[in-house]
Amino acid sequence: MIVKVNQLVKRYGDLLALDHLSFEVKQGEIFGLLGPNGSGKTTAINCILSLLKYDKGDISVFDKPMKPEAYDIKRDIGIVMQEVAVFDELTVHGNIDYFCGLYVSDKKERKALVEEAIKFVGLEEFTKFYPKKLSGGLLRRLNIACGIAHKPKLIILDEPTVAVDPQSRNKILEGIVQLNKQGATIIYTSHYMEEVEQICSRIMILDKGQVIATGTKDELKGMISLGEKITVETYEITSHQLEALKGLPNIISVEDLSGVLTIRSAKGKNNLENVLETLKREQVSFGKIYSELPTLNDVFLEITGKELRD
Amino acid sequence: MPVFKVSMKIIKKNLPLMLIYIFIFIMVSMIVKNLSGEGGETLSTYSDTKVPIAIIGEEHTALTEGISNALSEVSTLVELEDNKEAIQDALYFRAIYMVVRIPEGFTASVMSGNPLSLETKVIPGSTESVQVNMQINQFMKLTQLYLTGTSDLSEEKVAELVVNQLKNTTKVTMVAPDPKAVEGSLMPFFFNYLAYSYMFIMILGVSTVMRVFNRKEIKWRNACSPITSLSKSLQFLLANAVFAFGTWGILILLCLVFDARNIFKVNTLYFMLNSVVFALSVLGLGYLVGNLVKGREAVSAVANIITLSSCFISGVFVPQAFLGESVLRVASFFPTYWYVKANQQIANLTHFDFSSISGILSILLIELGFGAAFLAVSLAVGKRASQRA
Repeated sequence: MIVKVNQLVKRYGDLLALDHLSFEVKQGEIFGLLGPNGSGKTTAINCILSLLKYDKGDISVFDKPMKPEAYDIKRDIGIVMQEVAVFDELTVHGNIDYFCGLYVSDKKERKALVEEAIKFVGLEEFTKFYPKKLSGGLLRRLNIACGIAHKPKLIILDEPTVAVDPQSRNKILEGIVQLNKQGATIIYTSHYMEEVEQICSRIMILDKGQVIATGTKDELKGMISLGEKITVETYEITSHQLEALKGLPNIISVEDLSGVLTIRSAKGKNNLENVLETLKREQVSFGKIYSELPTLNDVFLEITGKELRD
Repeated sequence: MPVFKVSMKIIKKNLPLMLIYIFIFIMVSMIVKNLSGEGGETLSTYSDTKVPIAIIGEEHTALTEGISNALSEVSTLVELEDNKEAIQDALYFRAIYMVVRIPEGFTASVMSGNPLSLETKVIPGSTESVQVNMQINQFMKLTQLYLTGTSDLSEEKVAELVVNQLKNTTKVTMVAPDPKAVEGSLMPFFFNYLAYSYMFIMILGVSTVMRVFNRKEIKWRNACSPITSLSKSLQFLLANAVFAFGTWGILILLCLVFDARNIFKVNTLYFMLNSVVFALSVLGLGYLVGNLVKGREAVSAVANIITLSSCFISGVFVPQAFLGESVLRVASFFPTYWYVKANQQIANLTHFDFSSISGILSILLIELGFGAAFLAVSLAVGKRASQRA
């Protein structure tokens, strides 16, 4: 087991930030920690890294107890913090060299690793730039390069794509998958469900410091009753026509919001076909119609009763 | 040693601002050296100087001749026409510094015991004729003394006795300066002034590095690394020590270059020792400022305020002797005050036995105490800040 967290409790005064949190991260996984802001993701990461003292529980990394002075464990961990941790006084190359130098003392080896990291995040053209001259996306890439240059076995990325442009975001996500393919185990925290869904092999959803659900994205989606969400753009619909739709098999709810009809159905076959037939039969004029499988937001919504983005 | 290297790079980034203070030190030192002429040479010989004066006698007797002889001992007598315009011109163009007029009936008045006063004219505001005035007063007093004390003395005899009396001179011997003492006042000035530049550079340098490494993200990121806290602290300390002693070395070299006469004096070693101890206390102050102040501009402003205010009240710019007691009492809460005080004592040192230097050693201990106190408060503040984080 790469990381094992058992019954972790962390309090900030009266606020219970982590409430008996337990989870495990296996070798080779991209483990996603998903939850809204303030759900306890960063607190959990900081406890794993021994940056924060916790009130109760046990944490082990690489099957050894994690402590502030566990320097042999820290040697194999790469961390990309939520807030960009770079020196304004050093260039891109200088920053990566410094953080790599904290782990690798051999100059020759370090030089090769730094070059590789620069190439990996695509900052070749910016090596002599100071951080203040970089855009938000490039700065995030630098932050990642500083965390992974020493080729760690475990990489922890805490919301690495916050305030990043789509191009940089895609580059970062592709890079994370590549790092995983190269053998690194990854813990990835985010409140962007699309990202987590896209790259994580296993996901844990957190809310108010508690585990809501854990599993692969399919397992998580399988936990809820919602099977499909059909959206129809209608021009006009009567209450009679709405009732006809609600009467179809598997239909959970039908909502009409300013000409956009949202039909939520339970798992089952031919849901879309049935809806289309009913619309035709009831002579409902409609424009676009499309069907979506449930998202992690739907999972979160069904379990907690609130949107993940709230 | 990544922490050491980055610390040095951060200091290097701030070099331009620090160099301004080295430049100020050089400029002020050069100005002071030039103002002090030959570098504050000590006076080693003494000789009388005589100023030109004119005597206008309205009568010519043995006594008036005696006055002329007496005044010629302390001045050079110049012939001058008894004419208002000629007198004014001579005084205006400094051909003479004084005109003494001996009125008619002067000898008779002296012999009768009611002397007429001698009329004198001097250049307004000039001090050169003071000695001539004193000689006139002395002549008149001695004449009266002889006439009162001895009966039946002729005016010739009185004049002769008084002039002989006034010919007596006092031999002035200049005491040779102790070869062990510091020559001139340049060296103490340079070492005092060093406090200003050094303090600013140190506070700015050390606190800037501290501020960067104390940024929460950097601190936490470093805490995630396998480098031990002890190793990080030692690398950090080493960087600050290199910076502190490098800057100290440059300033000391400048001091020695500007006043090369005193390089091989024992006093110079003590000046250097005092400045090293001062450097340590300023290092502590730099740590404290770095732990308390956030923001690049704030560090520079605080460094300026602390340096200027403490140097002003501690006697770096104005000698402590000219400062009020209450000012010095406040200044004694700064290491700069003790540093300047020690420099004053070192400048006057001629013997180097324990009893002579014990006062200086006590001051050095006080300076070290300041450094330790600054460091202790700094560590307490740093610990509290990390607990809050």
